[in-house]
Amino acid sequence: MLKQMLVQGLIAALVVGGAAAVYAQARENGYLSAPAQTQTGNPDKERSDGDRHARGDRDRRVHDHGTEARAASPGRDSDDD
Amino acid sequence: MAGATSSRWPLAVLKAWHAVLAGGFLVAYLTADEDTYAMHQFAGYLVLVAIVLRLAFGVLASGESPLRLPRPSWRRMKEWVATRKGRHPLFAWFAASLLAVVGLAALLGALADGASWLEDPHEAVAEASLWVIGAHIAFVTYMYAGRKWMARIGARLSSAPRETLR
Repeated sequence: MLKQMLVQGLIAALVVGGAAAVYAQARENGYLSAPAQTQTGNPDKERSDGDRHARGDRDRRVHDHGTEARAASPGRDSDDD
Repeated sequence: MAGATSSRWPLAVLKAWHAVLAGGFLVAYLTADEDTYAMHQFAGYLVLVAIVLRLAFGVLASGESPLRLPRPSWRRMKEWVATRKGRHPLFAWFAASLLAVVGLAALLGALADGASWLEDPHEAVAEASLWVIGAHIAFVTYMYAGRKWMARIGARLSSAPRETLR
């Protein structure tokens, strides 16, 4: 029973991962609309491509506007990656 | 026959749900990065929906159905410790704990979409849930396989010649 459940979980992970990848790709290509919060310009949400890096930066999350934080920081290059 | 068939499908549904929950959590944990955030979001919402459906089915399920929600009880724990009879009470404790902690992590993640200050609590609860999941895996592995392995090891050790034990 353990082996069976382990295999079922791994298969489910593969299926979910595949579906998630398809969803992510569709969203990136613009086939799916972004969540409503980003369309209303919620300052708490930064979902656009240019702001994606800001999301992972804990310091920037403190600030409401990631672009302002970048502008205020001299010598910072947002295209390091 | 009809009775056996009708009692099998709730268990099959439960196992399928468990697979989806485990797989979804695994994908959500592995994709918790800014580069794979869309995948993380998809898997996280899937986990949240799975938990909500489980709670709904659990409330609506009949008395002895496997789909009924786990009901951990200290009284049953004490009875089991005294008699060692019946289903191990930790099964119910783990099931309830996992529903709570994984559900909370998924809920905080969904709320964090609108309130970024919830991202840190979401991450903290998700990391904590790993410990509960690990303990759950260790427990079921022991209950379903560990005891057999230990019995085999014990049998081999007791049957081995004395010279090899020195």
